Amino acid sequence: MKKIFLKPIFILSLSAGLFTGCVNEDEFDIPTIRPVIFTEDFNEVDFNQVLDYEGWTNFAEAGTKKWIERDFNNDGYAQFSSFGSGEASNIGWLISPAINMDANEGEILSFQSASNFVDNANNKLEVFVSSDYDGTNVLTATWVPLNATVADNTTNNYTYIPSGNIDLSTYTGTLHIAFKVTGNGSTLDGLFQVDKIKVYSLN
Amino acid sequence: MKKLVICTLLVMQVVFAWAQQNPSLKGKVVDSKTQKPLRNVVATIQSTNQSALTNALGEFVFAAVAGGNQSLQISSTGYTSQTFAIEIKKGETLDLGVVVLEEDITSEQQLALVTITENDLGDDNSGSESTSGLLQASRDAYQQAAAFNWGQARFRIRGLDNEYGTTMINGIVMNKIYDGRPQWSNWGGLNDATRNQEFTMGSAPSDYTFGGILGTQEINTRASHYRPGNRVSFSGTNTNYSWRAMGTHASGMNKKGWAFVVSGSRRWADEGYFEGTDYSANSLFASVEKKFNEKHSLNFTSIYAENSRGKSSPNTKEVTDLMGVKYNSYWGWQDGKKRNSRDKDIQEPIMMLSHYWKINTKNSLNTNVSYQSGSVGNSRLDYQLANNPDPTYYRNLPSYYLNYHTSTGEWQPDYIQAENARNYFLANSQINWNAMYQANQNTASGNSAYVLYEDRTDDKQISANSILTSELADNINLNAGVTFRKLKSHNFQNLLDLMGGQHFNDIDPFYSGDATQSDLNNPDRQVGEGDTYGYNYNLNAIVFDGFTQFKFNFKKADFYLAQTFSRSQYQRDGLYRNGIYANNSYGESAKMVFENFGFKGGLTYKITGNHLLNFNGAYMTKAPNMRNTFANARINNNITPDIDNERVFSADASYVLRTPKLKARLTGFMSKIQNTSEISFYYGEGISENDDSSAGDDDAFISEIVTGIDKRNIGAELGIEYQITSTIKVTGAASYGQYIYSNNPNLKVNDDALASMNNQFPVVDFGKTYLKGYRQPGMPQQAYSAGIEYRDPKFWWIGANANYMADNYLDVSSVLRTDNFTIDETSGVSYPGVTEESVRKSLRQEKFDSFTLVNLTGGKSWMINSKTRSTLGFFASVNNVFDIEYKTGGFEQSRKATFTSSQQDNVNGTPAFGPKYFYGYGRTYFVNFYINF
Repeated sequence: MKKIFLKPIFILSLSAGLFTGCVNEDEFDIPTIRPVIFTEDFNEVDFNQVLDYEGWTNFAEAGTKKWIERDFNNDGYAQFSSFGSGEASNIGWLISPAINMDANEGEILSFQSASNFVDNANNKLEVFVSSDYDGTNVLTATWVPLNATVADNTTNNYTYIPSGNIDLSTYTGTLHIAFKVTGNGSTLDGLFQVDKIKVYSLN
Repeated sequence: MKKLVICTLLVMQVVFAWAQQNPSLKGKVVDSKTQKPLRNVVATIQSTNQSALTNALGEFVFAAVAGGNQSLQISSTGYTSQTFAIEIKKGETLDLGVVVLEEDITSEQQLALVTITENDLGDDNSGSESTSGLLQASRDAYQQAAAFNWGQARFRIRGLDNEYGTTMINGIVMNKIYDGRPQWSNWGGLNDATRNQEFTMGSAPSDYTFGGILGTQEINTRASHYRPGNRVSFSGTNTNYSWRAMGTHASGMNKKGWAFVVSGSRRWADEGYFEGTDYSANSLFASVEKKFNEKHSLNFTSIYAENSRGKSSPNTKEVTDLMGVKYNSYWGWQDGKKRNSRDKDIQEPIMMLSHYWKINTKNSLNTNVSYQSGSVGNSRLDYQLANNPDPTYYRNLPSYYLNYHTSTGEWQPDYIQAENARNYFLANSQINWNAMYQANQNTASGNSAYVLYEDRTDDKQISANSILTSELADNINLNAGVTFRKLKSHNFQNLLDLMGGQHFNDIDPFYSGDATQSDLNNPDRQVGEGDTYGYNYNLNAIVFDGFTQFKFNFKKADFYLAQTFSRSQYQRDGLYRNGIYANNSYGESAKMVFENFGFKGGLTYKITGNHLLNFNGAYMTKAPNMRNTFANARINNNITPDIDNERVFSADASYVLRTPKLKARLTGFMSKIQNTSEISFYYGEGISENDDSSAGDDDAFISEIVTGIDKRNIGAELGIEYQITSTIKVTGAASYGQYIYSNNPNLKVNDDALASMNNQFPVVDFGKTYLKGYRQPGMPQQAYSAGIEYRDPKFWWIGANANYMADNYLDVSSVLRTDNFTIDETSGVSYPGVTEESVRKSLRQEKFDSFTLVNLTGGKSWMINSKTRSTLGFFASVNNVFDIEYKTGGFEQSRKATFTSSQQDNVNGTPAFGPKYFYGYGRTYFVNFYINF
């Protein structure tokens, strides 16, 4: 009796093993993809003109100075400087268009910033995000400060400082990123530059 | 059927009679043509593995055989085996009477086979071949199909490389320490002299070695084991050679105890199947045995086989579309002759002394000492500050202009230039030797801008082994062996031809200062023909291994257990102080020692004498081969980072049916090979976005180091053979496998251009290479065969078979599958356009078209003189009757290694750096005439 069963058992287990062990042709691994969700290099430059990129908000909370478009060695950037404003306070916001935070996981923000003529820590660049900014009313929105490495009074000479990878993965919905410079026309009249803004996903 | 049944397989008459005497089985074996008794024929009771040899009268006797239904096999080298179903009754003698063995005319087929296994399609500068040499004749219908029908399409049994098989001559391992593969050319053309062979498949036990997981092949050259006689043959074919002449004489043992065998052959072609592939091979073999007494014999074997042949180029689709599949870019006209720039020359003679000691009836010891020396050279053109002489250089082809992108990434196809390039290439598709000679005569200082050199390997190897065979008890056998091998391998660049110039400057003008020097101890040399230059080093290896194996035979089951230990030591000894690696190239490297072990076991369970179940399992660790142990052995002493032992696991299970008419085997197998390494060397360009092709140089010599590779092979194989009538036999075979990479190993690149005095090991870590799920390349993973054969009693036969093969894949580039491909190094994010979909599309592994090959074979032999047993015969075959064009393999080029550059290169549909392919032979024939006397 035993020998009658041995053969079918053998063949069955062999074919079962083959079918369960096989992998489909399309099941191959691929290298890491870090898709860019949002990027801005400010490379379309009207030199020294007020920055007017579509979707961006360029807002002076105090004083009249706004962010301007400039380039150096064919590399464009956004700059805010209160030098020569003659005003007691200059606060300039540069706010990105809405970024969709629902299409990817593990979003990361990075940018670079540079400074010059900044000689007081109160003359500063700060970075915020908001989930409820409506595109117009800057001051009524909730702005959450980000822990980014930015240029300051210790990093002058136009040296670009990488922001590091800033984790935005906890945010959902739409997000705006804001670069805010605080200064004045007298003691706090250094300049700040921002470039290579990127939101990407580490998946 | 309950009665005694004797089935005769082929043309023969078997007389049987009953005798009322002692319980035993006996018979007498004679040759079908001469009717003379045959000596040393093996008769085996298949269920118990009991065997008996025939004496000088051709008689065999079994003293006791278990009662019941049994099957008896009668076999001898060069004859067709026969199987009889017998019924043994207690107390009665079964006399089979006269068994007539017929010469195996299909063994002629082996002679045609060598033209396939020797064909080196790859452009691997290592001495050895990557085709499957274990594909040689054996009895099983599956293995026959694999060898004769699938071998031409680069089929590999169980998807395993040759380095997992063990090829031996008299028990001495012939796999090279350098890359683990045997060098078949070392005994090529000596088919008659290497005919005594024993095979095992998978991890099944061999009496001579522990072996790998693919199987073992043991070639026996003991002079007294050859059938006495003479044989002369002459063949014509249109494969890698055109003609072959071969002659062999075997004396047999004379009364004074001497036996000798001599054999010689020549094979040649002005041009083989592919253009410009000339071929010339001469082989000599001699073996002498002296039997001192019943206990001691000495045998001396010497094998000399020299082989010189022109190689053929793999080509991109663009080139093949323009020139056809036989096109070979390696040759050019010179003085009215086709001269190939890439020749492979091998001559590595072997001398071997063997001692056979029959200690007593139960124990024997075989000891061999062997010395092999010689050289392998692979020629190539070298050039300095001159244009690349390769007619298929990418700038010579239309695709370069059609895919042209500006530095800002704008596509600017230039159709006029592309058409010019096309016309120029069609008119100048071969190497222009004359232009190079002229260039060399017009240099400023008489130096050659172009030279022909060879990458040379001159090996000296001493091997010794000792194999003990011992019958410990009636049903327990022991095999044990030790092997020692010591290799000194001298590797250097040898200048062959100044090509009209006065001298060649031994510098690398791609670099500056000291880094230009190949040898700081002897800088700024001017070299001439026969001089060593470029690189020069020794690799020294000492390898020791030992094994023991116990085999147990019982009525219902046989099983075995075996274990092995090995120790491998490798060291590089630099003879040049290279300018790039001044502190790390001259003198000895670290000594690398690898210690390994292995265990295996297996069981054959006999359901009945005709139905068997067989299981084998093996686990072993394996030293990395010497080639992969050094990161860039040509110019420095660096050890490959993370190099370590491989882990090899294999298991198979078979159901075997063997009745006189129907024989079948169904096997399921799986193997895991883990932690392997692959090093490839190439001239890199455009590996990262920063050194893209605009510079036009391809001088940065790169070694790509992939470590920690895991491979998994699973599949099933089937062989079935049915004797419809005594003259007509049908066979079927199938192999279904899936051979994949099962993990994402690590990739590092050693880039000479990044070396400095402070960094003598310029390794760039590319992180993981995402290979998981890709298929292992270069072999059909599915193969099916159906054949029919007619053997006429008048000694002629014809056969035909059809073979379907599928699932052969392109060898993918590892560096294209690192994050370097998708992520821009400077920005840290993916290139524009990178999505999972676009990357999958771009990196999908190409699967070659499936194809069907039909082969015809046939032969006839005539008796000329029955007294001297002289026969005359011929064998003929036509392979790939319908002239099907098919790819046997190919590889992606490791260029355009970023998504953006890859997209740019493919924008027009004809990439400049597309994959290069190898093609199989179209319709070929082989005809062999022979005389045995």
